[in-house]
Amino acid sequence: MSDRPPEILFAVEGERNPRSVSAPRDSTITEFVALVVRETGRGELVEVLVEDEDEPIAGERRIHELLEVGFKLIHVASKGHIKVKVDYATRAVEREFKPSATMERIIKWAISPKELNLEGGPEDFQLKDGNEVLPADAHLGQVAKGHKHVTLTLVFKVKPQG
Amino acid sequence: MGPDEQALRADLDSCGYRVGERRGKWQVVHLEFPILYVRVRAATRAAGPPWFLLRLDCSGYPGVAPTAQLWDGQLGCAIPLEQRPHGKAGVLIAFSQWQACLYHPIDRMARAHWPNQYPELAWSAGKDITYFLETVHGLLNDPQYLTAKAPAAAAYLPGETVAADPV
Repeated sequence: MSDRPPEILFAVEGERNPRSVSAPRDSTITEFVALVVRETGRGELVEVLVEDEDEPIAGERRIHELLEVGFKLIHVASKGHIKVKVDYATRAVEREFKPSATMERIIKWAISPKELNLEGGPEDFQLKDGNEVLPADAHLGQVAKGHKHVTLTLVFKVKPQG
Repeated sequence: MGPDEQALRADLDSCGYRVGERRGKWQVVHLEFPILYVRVRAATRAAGPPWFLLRLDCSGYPGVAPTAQLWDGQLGCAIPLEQRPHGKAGVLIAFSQWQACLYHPIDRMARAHWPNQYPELAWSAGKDITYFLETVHGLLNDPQYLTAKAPAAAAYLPGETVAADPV
């Protein structure tokens, strides 16, 4: 095993592009957050969330524990949730998610029988922010521009015809 | 090295690109500017290869969009029409034999076919190679894609070891 500190790829709430940092394998999550706060100058970043999970990772856990499982983008976030309003034609649904929620998870929730009750699978739909189509694996915190509320539009996937 | 090659190499080293690579969505195979070969993961289908090789011409990047084709790395040519991704109604439109490019607004050559349509899908300032690859990955993982006769080996350039499933 290499002694070089591993590169950690992560998303940051309020930033569209992911970042990377090298952190010693035995760093704790608390130490990792401190490193990110130093790099970004953003003291409000206090939590680390695994993609699509709602509970922050405990501060005493070690970075290497995250690296030993299959890749899931981690998200460094401020406290709290982001309120999401999903507009679909003339209807809308609303709910809070953690910043690490993917667009795919939000689509699954929005089209579910208890919400918009739409036919088809999540792969048949996409979320848009204005005119921008959001990738299915983008995190909510990456698209909310640092706000704690965002309105997205649910549409059928656009498929150009000849 | 010209500014277009510099920009492309920088974007291939970006965190956004690497997140997609770590997710197993694509992997760079070879870059001999302006030609870039990227293997793109396809949805698992009963009849279909795990990966397709994409050959991109990135001249002028990022000022102009790349143009690309699904490529047979063994034969050194575009994948024949009958081996491309098909759906219920035949070959998927984006991979049809319109010209030597993807038939999709993201592609430099095809864009003019929809001059005032699909602005959100087209290349524009701020878009990068990751966006292009996200688009192609999305096409290859769309429910409309049902089958492809391309052999798995077509996704590999000569001299590469063909993996049964590299993910």
